[in-house]
Amino acid sequence: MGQVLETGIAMGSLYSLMALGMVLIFRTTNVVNFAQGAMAMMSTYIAFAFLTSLHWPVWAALIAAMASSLALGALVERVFIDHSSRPSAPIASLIITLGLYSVLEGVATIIWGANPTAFPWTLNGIFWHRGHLVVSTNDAATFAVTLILVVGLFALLRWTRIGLAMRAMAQDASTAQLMGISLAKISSSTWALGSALGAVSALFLLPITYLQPTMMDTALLLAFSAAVLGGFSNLPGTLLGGLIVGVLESLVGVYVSNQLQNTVVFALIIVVLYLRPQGLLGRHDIKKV
Amino acid sequence: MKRWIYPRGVIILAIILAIAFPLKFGTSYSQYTLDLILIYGLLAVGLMIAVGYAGQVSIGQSAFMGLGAYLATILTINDHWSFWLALPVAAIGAGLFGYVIGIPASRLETVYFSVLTLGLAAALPEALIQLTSVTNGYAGLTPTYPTFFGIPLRTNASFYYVALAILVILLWVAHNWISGNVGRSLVAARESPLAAQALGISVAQVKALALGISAFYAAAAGVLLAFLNQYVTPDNFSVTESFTFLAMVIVGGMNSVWGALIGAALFTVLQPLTANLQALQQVIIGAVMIVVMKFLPDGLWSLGRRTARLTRLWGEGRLHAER
Repeated sequence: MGQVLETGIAMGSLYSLMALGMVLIFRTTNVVNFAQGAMAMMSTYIAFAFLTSLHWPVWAALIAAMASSLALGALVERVFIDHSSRPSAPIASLIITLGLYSVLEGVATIIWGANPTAFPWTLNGIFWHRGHLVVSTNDAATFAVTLILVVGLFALLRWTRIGLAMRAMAQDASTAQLMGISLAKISSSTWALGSALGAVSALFLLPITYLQPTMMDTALLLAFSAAVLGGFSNLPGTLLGGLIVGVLESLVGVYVSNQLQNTVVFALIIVVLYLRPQGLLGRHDIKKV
Repeated sequence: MKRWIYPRGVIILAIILAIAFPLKFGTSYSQYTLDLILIYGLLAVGLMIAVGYAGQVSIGQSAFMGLGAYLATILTINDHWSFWLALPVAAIGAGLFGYVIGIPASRLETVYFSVLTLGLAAALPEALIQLTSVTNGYAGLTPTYPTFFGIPLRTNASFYYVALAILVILLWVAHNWISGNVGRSLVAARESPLAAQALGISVAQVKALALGISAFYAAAAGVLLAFLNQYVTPDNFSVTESFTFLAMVIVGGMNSVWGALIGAALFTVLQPLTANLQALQQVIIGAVMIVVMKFLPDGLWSLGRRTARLTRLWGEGRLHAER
């Protein structure tokens, strides 16, 4: 049982990271990024390419992957979304990110093939164990990185100018613009940040999903349900939602069936939408229409 | 809705398709393709109502299609229902299901609707595999030919008339829906939810109804597909299918029945060209969605309509005045 919870929390942290990226993007630029998982998948393939084709050292390949995910996020925002140029139509940008998801998965399949590959470098070994409870090195690193990123993210939003600008844009974009905030700049930065959070999540999921174009499909859905649990607005709620989803997935996998995760997640989304549409920690100021 | 309308377009299309078919399309393969066009056309019309009229992007059409296909197949195999009874029951059942799950999502922003339907599309194949006792798992089920007054409809050609009849009836219903109360409420709710509510329209309810209608159409298409192929497996209803369906509606034009039909026909005809290259197909579908959304948001149908208008103005020598 303890082990099931540990695994669940480790997986849940990764779903939280991805969901935080999506909620950040959604709150600031009003676009739901359905390509979040596919973009993260691309970054892991870029790390893979640097490792295997160019024989870069691991740390350099990981840095290159993170840099490329930041760039990809900003690029997608510039080319496809461009929030600043005209009022965004929610459906249009939603469909564009869906299209991007399809394109990226297809492109990755054409370049690298559909078969799952093991990533050439993993965090092996056991970090800590007591009795039956084992914390693998990958899990320990997951916890550490999630903690650092979450604290960093909250600090960024709370105490920096760019964080303040993001919050201002989320609250009221046109007023923020009148206050001298460059919507284009903030919008791109938010996308870069959100994309990078997804890439971190994908890199730590590699030992479980392996490297394949569809590796983030399940994670995307689980991150979405984490975002739903957070009411698509509340960041602490999203974090908590990710952990709950991770633990639930782990419990269902062990005690029911490991082939029913999507069904359970779908049921969870329905229940949450009926009972707490504003999210776990949400207040009642949801947009009703 | 007080009076039913009988749009000329539907009647003309029905007559043309009914006469043209046996004359021209001899080979069994092109007959099969034509059958598929009718089936996906049906689905696309339903999806168009959800996306275009309600402004709700459903990624769950593959699931509703699968639900209809499996319901009807199970009813005819296990309970020995007739195809003609199983078809409406399965379609209405899936429609009700769509309505019920649509209610909570419709009260919120459009995001929730898409997330919910994505979840459904991911869950259904998995659930079908798990319910082996009823669905036969991966192996799938094989429905038998529908019969018409005791005559089994064995060929792609005879099936064509079944699909055509159902498409025409449901096109006529769709026309009446979207030009009547339902359609106007949907447009009102999409354009200005507050004003719609002030007029006494329950925004959440009409949006959920739109998902119900689209689920009904998808399920009817699913039943037809199952009986045409004589085979259903969970693989037929994966999330990727839903992307293709969305692309059909977006490319054709998401504000018109004819646009949806054109999109469905286009994709059905072009699909075999990339059948061996699934990844390429994925790229094309995604790219087409992005490009059309960016540069031609109302789809190919709007292009046709615009050209027609310009030609008319040009013919009347008023093109310059208009500009």
